[in-house]
Order: sequence, then C-alpha cells, then structure tokens
Amino acid sequence: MHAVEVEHLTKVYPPSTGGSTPRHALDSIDFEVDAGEIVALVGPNGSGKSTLLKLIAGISEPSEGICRIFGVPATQPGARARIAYLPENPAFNPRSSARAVAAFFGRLGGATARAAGALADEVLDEVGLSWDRDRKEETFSRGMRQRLGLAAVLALRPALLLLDEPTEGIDLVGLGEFDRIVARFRKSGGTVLFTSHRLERLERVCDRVVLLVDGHLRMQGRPAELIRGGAGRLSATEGGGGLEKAFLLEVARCRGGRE
Amino acid sequence: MNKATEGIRGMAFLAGETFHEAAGAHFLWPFVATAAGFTGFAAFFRAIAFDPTGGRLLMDAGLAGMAFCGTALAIASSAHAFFSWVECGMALMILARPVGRTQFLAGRFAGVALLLGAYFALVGGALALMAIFLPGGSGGEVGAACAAQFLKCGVLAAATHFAAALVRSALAAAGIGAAFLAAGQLVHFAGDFWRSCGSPAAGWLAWGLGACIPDLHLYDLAGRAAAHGTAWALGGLAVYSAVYVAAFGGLAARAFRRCEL
Repeated sequence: MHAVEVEHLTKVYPPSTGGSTPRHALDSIDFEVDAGEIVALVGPNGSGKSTLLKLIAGISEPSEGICRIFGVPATQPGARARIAYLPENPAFNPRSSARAVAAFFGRLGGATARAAGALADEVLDEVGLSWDRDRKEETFSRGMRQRLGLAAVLALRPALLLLDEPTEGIDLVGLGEFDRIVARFRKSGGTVLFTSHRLERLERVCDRVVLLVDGHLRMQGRPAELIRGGAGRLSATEGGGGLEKAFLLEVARCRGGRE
Repeated sequence: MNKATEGIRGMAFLAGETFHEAAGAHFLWPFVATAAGFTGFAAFFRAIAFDPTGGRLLMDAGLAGMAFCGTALAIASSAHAFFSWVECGMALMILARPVGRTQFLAGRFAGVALLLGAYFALVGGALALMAIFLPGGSGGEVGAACAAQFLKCGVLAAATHFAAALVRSALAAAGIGAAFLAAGQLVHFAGDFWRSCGSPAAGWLAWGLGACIPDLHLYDLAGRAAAHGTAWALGGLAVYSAVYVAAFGGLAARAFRRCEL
C-alpha cells in the first residue's frame, strides 16, 4: 500500500509585492512512497522540497494535482491523524521543559494527561534527552531543539513521519542516533519521508532518494542505482563519485550546465 | 465523541496552553503590577488633598489603571499569541494534525480571553477589597467596571487577531491594534461631528464608520448604568461585544485560512 501518493502536484505562489510573475514552486510532481519505506527528498536550496512536504502534510493547498496519505486526500482529517510533520529549525515555548513540550504533543496526539507524561519520558529517552527532560527549551542548543522536535513528532504516534531537514545542526553522535530512531520507527511499521542535504549519509539510511531541481522531479531510485547512473556519466579524470557527485551532475545538467 | 465536542475539546486544550505560555512569558504580572502602580501613584496626589478623604481619587485612578493596562495586555498578548507559534514552526506541527485553522485561531483567542479574565479578576479583586475600606468606593461599581473592560478588551483582542492574520509581524499587529483602540475612542466624536453637519450623506458616513469600528466610549458604564441599570447596560454591552468579536473572529479566520505559513 502507498503511504503517500502524489499526482501532478503543482504549487504556484502569487507574485510577491511589487512583482508581476507568479513563482512556480512545484511543477507537476508524481511519485509514491510505499508503507514502511524510508525516502529522502534532496535537491538544491529553493528546489521545492519544503513546499512539497507542506503539501503532503496538508498545511498548504496545491494549485493543481492531489496528494493522498494512505489513500485519503492529505487535507482530510482522516489523513492528518496519521502523520506528524517536523519543520526546519523547530522551536517551542522557551519557558517549557522538554518533558512539557513532549507531553503537549502527546496530548495533541490523543493521549490522556497521565499517559502523555509517560509517553513524553519514553520519547525523550528515545532521542537521547532523558537527562535534560526538566531543562527549559530556551537553554537548549540547536541540535538539542532538533532532537526535541523529533521527540515531539514521535509523541504524536504517527504512521508517517514528514521531517524537514531533521539532521540540521545535529552532531556526529546525534546523526547515528537519528539513523537508529528512523530504523526503529520503520521496524514498528512506520514510514518516513524527509529532506536532507547530507547526501553522504543517505545510502545507509534510505530505501529511495528523490531529487528535485527547480520544482521538477528529476531523478528517483535506490541510492545504489542513482550512483551507478551518475558514474556512467563521469569522465575518467573525475573518477567514480558517490551520490553527491551523481546529483551535482544532474543538477548541472538540468540548469543548462555541462552534461 | 462527535465532531463538535472534539472541536471544542481541541480548542480548550490550545486555549489552556496559550494561557500557560502567556503567563509564563510574564504577560500577566507586569500588567497587574502596573495597574496597581497607578493606584499607588494616586496615593501621592491624595496628600495634596483634592477632597477631604481622597478615596474617590484612589478608586478612579485604580479603575483607570486597570482599563489602561487591560487594553495594553489585550493588544500585546494577542499579537504574541498569534505569532509565537507561527514563527517557531509549532503552528505547522499542530496544523499538520487534524486541527483546523479556525479551531487553532479560536483556541489562541480563548487563551488570551482566559489571560484577560485572570487579569481583571486579580486587579478587580484588589480594587473591590480597597472599595470596602475606602469611603466613596463601591464593590458593585468595581465589578461592573471590570466586566465592561473585559468585554472591551475582548473586542480589542479579536481585532488584533484579525490584524495579525493580515500582516507578517507581531509588531505590526500590535501597532494596528493600538491604532484600532485610538479609532474606537475617537469614533464617538467623529459621529457627533458628522451628525451635527446636518447632511444626510455625512450621517450615513458616520453610521458606516460606527458600524465598522466599535465605539469604545460605550464601555464607560457610569452614565448608561445610571439611565438603564447596571445589569441592562452590561447585557447590552455583552451583545454589542459578541457581534464585534464574531465579526473580527470570522474575518481573522478567513484571512488565516488563505495565509501561506
């Protein structure tokens, strides 16, 4: 079963103040994510990754096309009850403790006040913040806020996680923990769709990678397939590159650079 | 649980969190302290002996302080409530769940209303206590003034929420809220001026202006309570306020639904 189905998804923003041309953030995107898959959305800045996640999360309305979550249109409450969305650089009530933040999201996910407290402890432990559960959010570093964000979305007990740059600002130890959290989530039957600029890590974490360039879907497939495809286009002097090289070549090709 | 009950429960949950957040952000106590400061400051004037006891002066200063700080609290906390979760991304996380934008906004507004209720209960309670001991003070008068000012602040909070849904910063929303307060105080004079012109067009203009901007002078109960009785005057004000809160709330919800977060 598809956890996410995106058909001809287009998003056009109206002209900004003083401007006259509308901005095409996404242009007729089609792709699916199967239940239980871990899929990464990659692409240069401004390629539409965050917009696509917001459309899938039902926060923004598409100009054209449709997005379904487990077969239900993304804007319907039935679809949204099964997802959790973590925006880029999340922050929370600065004077709340980490435990209070996680418990708030637990309650938002439908847990009772008492159950939300226990759930908060569990998810904070899962993201490695159990020692800091009583610290106020304002004393947290960027990486710790990112972990707290992960705890918050896990407290919602979703079937589909939508994460926008979840590893931004996280240290090397935290990156390993992120991989483990995602793997555990998948093991429990969950699906993950996330954006990332850390291409070097995707091979280990993801089942599939989707490349967006300037609002168009340019490539998708298993990391190993994409690397093989990219290596075929590399010259002898460039040698064999990883996912990073393959994507740089594709972006350059799309933007009219060398092929 | 049916949809309506679920919606109200969700709204109440968000309202409670908004109240805790605003109280934690030191919105409540500085305003309570400032309102008390007004009364304390008036005690110095009493030494000049405006009247033999000065009790009336203290009560008036207390009520004025309560009204002034209440309006400031309504505007500041509304602008903060709207933007604090939008700016940090929490609004996105909440709206990605089955929480409607109208429900989200209503929850935030209800949280501000709770904060205003706590403020008027605290300051009004202190003033009522003072009224017992001061000659010239009346507990009933304090209660009625608190209720009227609470309604006025509710209208201001709804108008500030509407402004916030249209603009991009808390400062701009607070600025528009303050401008709205000034307009609400002046619309009464504008109405008098245009009506005295004797032109039907000016009369219609005055009516139109009066319909768009609530006349905040009406919340000064003294004269109307004397004419119609306090209960009737307050009942009328409650209906008047409810109409404006519903209108501004509806406009805010409409603007927020169209807003790209």
